[in-house]
Order: sequence, then C-alpha cells, then structure tokens
Amino acid sequence: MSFWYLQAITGLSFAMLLFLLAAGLSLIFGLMRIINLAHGALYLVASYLSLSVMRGTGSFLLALLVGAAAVTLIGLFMERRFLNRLYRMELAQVLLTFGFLFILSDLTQWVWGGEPQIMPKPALFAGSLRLGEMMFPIYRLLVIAVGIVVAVLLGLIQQYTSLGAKVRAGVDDAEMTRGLGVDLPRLFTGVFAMGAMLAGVGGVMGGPIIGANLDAAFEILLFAFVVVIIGGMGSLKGAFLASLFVGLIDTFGKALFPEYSLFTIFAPMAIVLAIRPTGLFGRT
Amino acid sequence: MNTTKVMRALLLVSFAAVVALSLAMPGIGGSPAEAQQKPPIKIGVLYGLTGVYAFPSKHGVQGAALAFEEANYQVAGRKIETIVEDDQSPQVAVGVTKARKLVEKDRVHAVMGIIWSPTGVAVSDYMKTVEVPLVLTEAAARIITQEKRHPYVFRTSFASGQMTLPFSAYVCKNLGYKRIVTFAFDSVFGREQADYVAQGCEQGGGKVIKQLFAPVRTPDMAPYLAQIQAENPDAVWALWSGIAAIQFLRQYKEFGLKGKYPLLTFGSLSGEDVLAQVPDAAEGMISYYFYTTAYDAPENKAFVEAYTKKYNMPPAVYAGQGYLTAKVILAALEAIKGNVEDKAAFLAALRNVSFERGIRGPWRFDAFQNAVSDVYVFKVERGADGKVGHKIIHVLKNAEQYWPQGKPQR
Repeated sequence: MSFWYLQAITGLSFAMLLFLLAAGLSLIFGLMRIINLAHGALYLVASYLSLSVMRGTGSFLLALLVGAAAVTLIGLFMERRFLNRLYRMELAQVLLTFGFLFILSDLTQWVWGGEPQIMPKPALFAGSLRLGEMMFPIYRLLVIAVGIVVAVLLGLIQQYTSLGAKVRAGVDDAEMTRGLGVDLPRLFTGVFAMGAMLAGVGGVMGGPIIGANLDAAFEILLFAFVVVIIGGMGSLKGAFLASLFVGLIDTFGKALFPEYSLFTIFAPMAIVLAIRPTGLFGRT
Repeated sequence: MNTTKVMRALLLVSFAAVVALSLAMPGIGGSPAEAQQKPPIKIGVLYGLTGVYAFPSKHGVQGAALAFEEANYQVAGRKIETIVEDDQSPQVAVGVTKARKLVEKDRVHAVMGIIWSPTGVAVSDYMKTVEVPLVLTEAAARIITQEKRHPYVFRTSFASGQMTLPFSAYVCKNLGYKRIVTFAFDSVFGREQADYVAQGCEQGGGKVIKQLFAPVRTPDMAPYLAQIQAENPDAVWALWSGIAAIQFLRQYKEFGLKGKYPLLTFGSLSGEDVLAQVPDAAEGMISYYFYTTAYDAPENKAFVEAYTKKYNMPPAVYAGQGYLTAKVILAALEAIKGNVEDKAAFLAALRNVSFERGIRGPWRFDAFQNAVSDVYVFKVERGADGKVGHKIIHVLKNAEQYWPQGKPQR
C-alpha cells in the first residue's frame, strides 16, 4: 500500500514542478503568441544562481528570492529590449528566444562550468519521513505546497483582479482588448516577466531534486511543453490539471511499466490531441 | 578619402610583410634532415570538451598534458606537438569530422582520447581507412577491439564486460548476495552491463531478479526506487554517471534504501565529481574500476600529487586515463627512437608497450590491442581526514576482455 502513497507523492511533487514551468510558458503563449524557447534557460539560470547563493549564505529563502528576481529581470530585459520589437512576427520571435536559449545556457556553462551539481536542501526540509515500510523526503511535500500556493495565487489573480481580467481578455482576443483601451504592450511585459519569475521559482525549487544541469533543464522543458499542449495554451486551469495528469502518469508509468517510460507520456498527449486538437482547455 | 588611402597603404604593407615572412620561414623547403631538425611528432588529442562529457574530458586532456610535460614534449631528441580537438560527444558526426581534420589537415601521427563509445566506433572505422593509429582512452564498446578490431586501433581502458563480469561473480560468490536488482541507464552500454551482471552473478551462484532501465536523462529517479523496494533484493547494482549519478545516490538515501539494500556501483558512481557532491549518500557503497587514486603505489602517489599541484584539483579517473595513454604513446615512441614515419615499427612498438608498475599497477595490451589490467574493488569510506574516498578491499587480477572464457582461438 505504501508503495502507492509513495508514488503519489513523487508524482505530485513532479507535477508541481512542471506546473511552475508550464504556467508561465502557457500564459506567455496564450497572450503574446510567443513560443518562449528560452524558458528552460531561465530555469537553468535560476537554479545555478540559487545554488551559488545557497552555498554562499546557506539560506534557501534568499536563494529563492535571488533566483526568482534575477530571471525576472532577464525576462524584463528580453521583452523590453528585443521581443516587443517583433510583435506578431512569430518566426523572428522563435529565433530570438532560441538565440537567448543558447546565450543563456552557454553563459551558465562559462560561469559555473560543466560539472554536474545538485543544490543542497534547506535544513528544515532535509530529512525523510517514514511511511509504513518506506521512506520519502520531506522536501517533496514542500514542493507540493509551493506549487499549490502558487496555483491558488495565480488563480485568484486571474479570477478576481482587473489585471487578471485584462489577461483573460487578451488571451481571448488581443485586438479587441487593445481597442478597449488596455495598454497591451505593458500587459505583455508584465506577463512575460511573471512567466520568467515562475520559471525561476521552478528552477530553485527543482534544484535539489533535478539539479542545475543543462540536460535536465531541457528534459523538463520538454515535459512542460507536453503539459502546455495537453492543457491548452493560455489556460491556467489547463496547465494545472495537465501538470497533475502528466506528473502522475509519468511517475506511475515509470513504476508500473518502466520499459515504456517515454511512451506513457507521449501516448496520452497524442490521444488528447486527437480528441481535442487545442488541448483540454484551449480555445479554438 | 584620406582614410581609404591609409587603409590601402596598410593593406600593402601587411601583404608585403606576410610575403617576406613566408620567404624567411625556415624548414618548409630544404633544411638538413638530421634528427634534431626533423619536424615534430604530432599527436591529436580528441575529447568532448563541451557538452555532456565536459568534466571528464577536461581531466583527460589535463592528464595527457601532464605526461607529455614530464617528457618535456620530447622523445629521442625529437619534439612532440599535441593538437587538442573537441569531438562534442555525444555528436558522433562531429567526432569523425574532427578526426579527419587532425589526420588530413594537421597530419598527426596518432590520435588519442575519446570517451563516448559510438564516437569511438565511428572514428576507429575512419582511422582504419587512413591507416593512422588511434589509442582510445575510454570508449568501452566491446566490438571495437573484438568484431571490428583492426591493426590501427588500441584501447587502454577496458572492453564493456571486462570489469563487470569478474566483479559480479566476485560479489555474488564472496559477499553472499544472491538476489540482485540492477538499475542502469537505458543505452546499449547500460543494457550490456546489466547483462554482464546477470552472467557474472550466475557464475558466482547468485541471480539477478530484476533489471531496471531508465532513460539516460531522467529528471527524477523516485519512481524506480519504489520499484527496487518492492523487489526487496539482497543488494542493488547501479550504473549512472554525471548528474544522474548524484541524483541517484541522493535519492537512494532519501527514500531510505541506503542501509537497507547494500549498493554495488560501477566506477562512474564513485568518481571524485560525484563523491564531492554527495559524500554522505555515497559512503558505504562498494564500487569497482580499473583505476583509483587510492591505489597504493609510488607512481600513483606521484601522479596524484603532481596533478593536484599543477591543476589545483584532485585527478578524476579520466585524468589517470589521459595520463596513462600518453605514457603508452611515449613509451612506443621511445622504443622506435622517435622514428614515427616507420609505421609498421610504430604499431609493433605500441602493441609491445607494457608496464610492470604504474598508476594502474601492471598493465599491457592483449593480442587484440585491448588493455589487460587489474580491476580494483573498493569501498567508499570516510578517511581519517574526514573526506570520503576509496578503500580497496579486493583486486581482480589481470582482467581481460574475454574473461573468463579465455581468448577465442583464431
């Protein structure tokens, strides 16, 4: 029995990490129609930066703040200086974010080197809990909690604030929203920076589990794209539910059919796309 | 107007300078052909300096450089020049392109290096066509020195099963582990190794009850660890490298498997890069490899000391390999007095290189130009200085690629 609990906790924590990445990716795409390929690089920068801060000061909270703030700034810079000149030029935007992906990931290699590194855990959450026959790390519960808090906060903002209303309107019909006098460029900047911040939080929270590593960052970005595709672009609810779906399927798939670990992810994606080409909560 | 004139003048002057220089350069045309004036011996050093293998490659290059430096970049009065190239592994095509560049443009007399097996296979095929010796430092794919062997390819490390077979026979027989679960990354190498564990363990009277494989880049090991627990084995054998090795060891501890199921690991999990990051999680496991800095011989001590002093970091196993391989090449060159143009003699000299003592203990090539050497079984332990390191508990003597069946009669 505890086998199942253990897998569920593992799956949920992975799902919440995915959500942190996918939420930003999905919002940016839904509102701005930008496929931000540099999202994984932002995740990477945040995990390396927080690693250094953690090593230097030993404070996880400070690491989280620095990591998130730094990539928010990078996101702001990317959007203000570059992306907003390319509004509506999809190909140019994709190329640009692709370029940022290379620059940022090479920079991290240059600064932190190619050695594999995993972030130490905050002391308070470093231990393991016993659950029947098995043990699991407490840190995973923290990841789940952070994921849920972020999801609830985002949901509240989207549902009950005028900012959220503007974002929702922008996702539905950007031209009409602009016509109603909403300052779209500023909204874009805000949403892009927020997406970057979420990637940063994901990078820091994922640091102790997934590690600061180029390959791992790409791997998890791939999963995040799957989440966005299944959930539907621009939908927070979709991103959340699809994260749960992908996280749990991946974990249980690996546990029950270890031979088919990639299949268990992409097969459901193919099925969802066949039935609902826009994803579970996407709009046509 | 003025600037154009200046530019043109500059251009002319620099052109003239280049012409003058090239005329004045000695050596290209007709310098006397005595030993002192012979053009340098060129050795290509091919490693994956960027990408997945950046860390081991750095150590490999540094180890080789140390060996050449100890020889003053000279053999029998003739200069040695090394040309380092990045094969960007796991990109096999780049590896072959770089090998071509070394052979066709730089005109090297031999190439050493290569960690990633598929690159090793491809480059070996190429070197066969151009008839230039290739001395592999890692690239453990079995076929390179077996089915696909040819006179120009040498390997100083090991062939796929060379260490795992005798090791698993040893642990199943001598340490009393009868039911083993294997957990490796899903690749040809990982699957081969897991099968060797099954084979070896059976010979030792034990059994592999489950083989688990996960993609090379697995963001989270937890689902597999639960699988292992469900099997409740006597011991777990694992093969991971780089960040995945760190992740695995850390989660193995966090999910409470450490202490419950003894951990047997391939040497890539007990490398310095891994131990430095997760010393507590790694402590207590039994690992095996053909080289360890803990090997107690004056040659090895001197190497570790010189390396640490020069590069300000302790050598990783790959550093030892770079060093040893360069030594092999140097020994062969010494034997032929630097007359590397006599290719047949150079090949014969390479084949005959053997060390009575050295950083890996006794070492030589077998008839198939693959290394024969001892494999060290060691425990990861905390030393007197508080640092986690290797403690050798057993030496598997003279392991070779066809263990234990012996060489096929051909």
